[in-house]
Amino acid sequence: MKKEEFADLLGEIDAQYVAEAHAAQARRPVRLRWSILAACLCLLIGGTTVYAASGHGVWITDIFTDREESGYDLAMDMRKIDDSELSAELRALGSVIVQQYKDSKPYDSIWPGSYYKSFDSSAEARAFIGYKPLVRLDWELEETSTQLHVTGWRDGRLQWINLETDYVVGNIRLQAYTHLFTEHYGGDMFTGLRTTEEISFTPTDETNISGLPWLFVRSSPMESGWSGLDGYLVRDGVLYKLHIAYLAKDAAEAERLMFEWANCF
Amino acid sequence: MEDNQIIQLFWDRDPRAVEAAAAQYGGYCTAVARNILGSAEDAEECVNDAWLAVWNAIPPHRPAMLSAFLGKLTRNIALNRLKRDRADKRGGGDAGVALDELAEVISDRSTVEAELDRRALLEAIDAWLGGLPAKKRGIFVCRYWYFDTVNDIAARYGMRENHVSVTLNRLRADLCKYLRERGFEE
Repeated sequence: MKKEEFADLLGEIDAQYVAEAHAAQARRPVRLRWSILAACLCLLIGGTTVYAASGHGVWITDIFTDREESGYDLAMDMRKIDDSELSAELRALGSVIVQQYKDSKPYDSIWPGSYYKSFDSSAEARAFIGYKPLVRLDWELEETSTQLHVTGWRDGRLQWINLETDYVVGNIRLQAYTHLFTEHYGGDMFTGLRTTEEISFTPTDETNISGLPWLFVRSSPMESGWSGLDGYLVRDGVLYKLHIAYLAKDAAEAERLMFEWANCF
Repeated sequence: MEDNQIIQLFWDRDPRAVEAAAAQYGGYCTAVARNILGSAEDAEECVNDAWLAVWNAIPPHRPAMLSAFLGKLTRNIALNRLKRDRADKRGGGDAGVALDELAEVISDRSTVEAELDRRALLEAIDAWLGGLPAKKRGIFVCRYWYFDTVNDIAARYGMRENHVSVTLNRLRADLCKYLRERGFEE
């Protein structure tokens, strides 16, 4: 019997065992990929087990470096946002998502439940979201693009909102994320990063000029020569993240930009 | 919508049946396919094939557990596609590694050809699984039914990756011994 045939046979094991394992899978993190460094890195959002808390809003729960995949998991301590704290415009996207489900055909390649919208500026996007405590990054960098991604249930209740604003400084690429979970989000908070290469990560706990703790993770260079810096900070129920991709010659400037970002809060 | 309502829609040949199944289990089936194929695009195509397959299968089939039925259909379609892709030296997710691991359990020389033998082997595997503690059974099923990565399993069960790998090694060896003792291997 070939291994493929044996795998086929295993497909027929008692359905109870399959369902039992599926129940365990229901606790697995939901992974969302955002393209970074030629699609090699991704940020994860979802639920996971929290192993230890270090007293600030986001902390490392696991770091791993393997030949084919490296990454780390983070847990966050942040509150979920009430619908009433969001703008009417944003909440109205619930009806768009309801319609997506109604219009969805099973053979469509696009799944319903997600809404994307581009904005001319992050200020415009923040106004659209309407959550008053959202922090405006007070720095001089020129925004190259801003995109909002909202997910919701089929009944129109919004689950989470992610705003991504990109910047370019010379050869340095920056991606700033603002992430909110609504009261309707069902899982625990989870974030993290994955690569398809064997690289290492060095996390350090930092404090910004306002005394707010934040997490700084430095990644070793990838085969392409690009390295990554990631900063995570939680404030007023919002996860802020900055990913910086840079080449070795720009290392000092990339570090400077990361600390500048953290001091915006 | 409850599973029996979805199944009834299929029996009534109601076009909303597939929509209801997709809404309830689309994510689950996509995860099953993506674990095997490694590509989101391939997984979506595979799941779309699964909706057609379930439309054709119900009726006459009336699955007792819809999630397992849909998962199994998706798994079969994805595995068939993986075999084709591997023959063409294309892509594939972590399933290729898991398949290689399974080769340790049963040899190519084993002649479980007849349906009766196949059924007996399946019953033996079910019995072996039934004798395992729930956690170990879950780890085995996650790896060789769902083709989850070792990393995913470690995160889910709160274990270190190395511990998961060692557990899987021992489970494969134990299954191999169990089957040999029952005459399934030369």
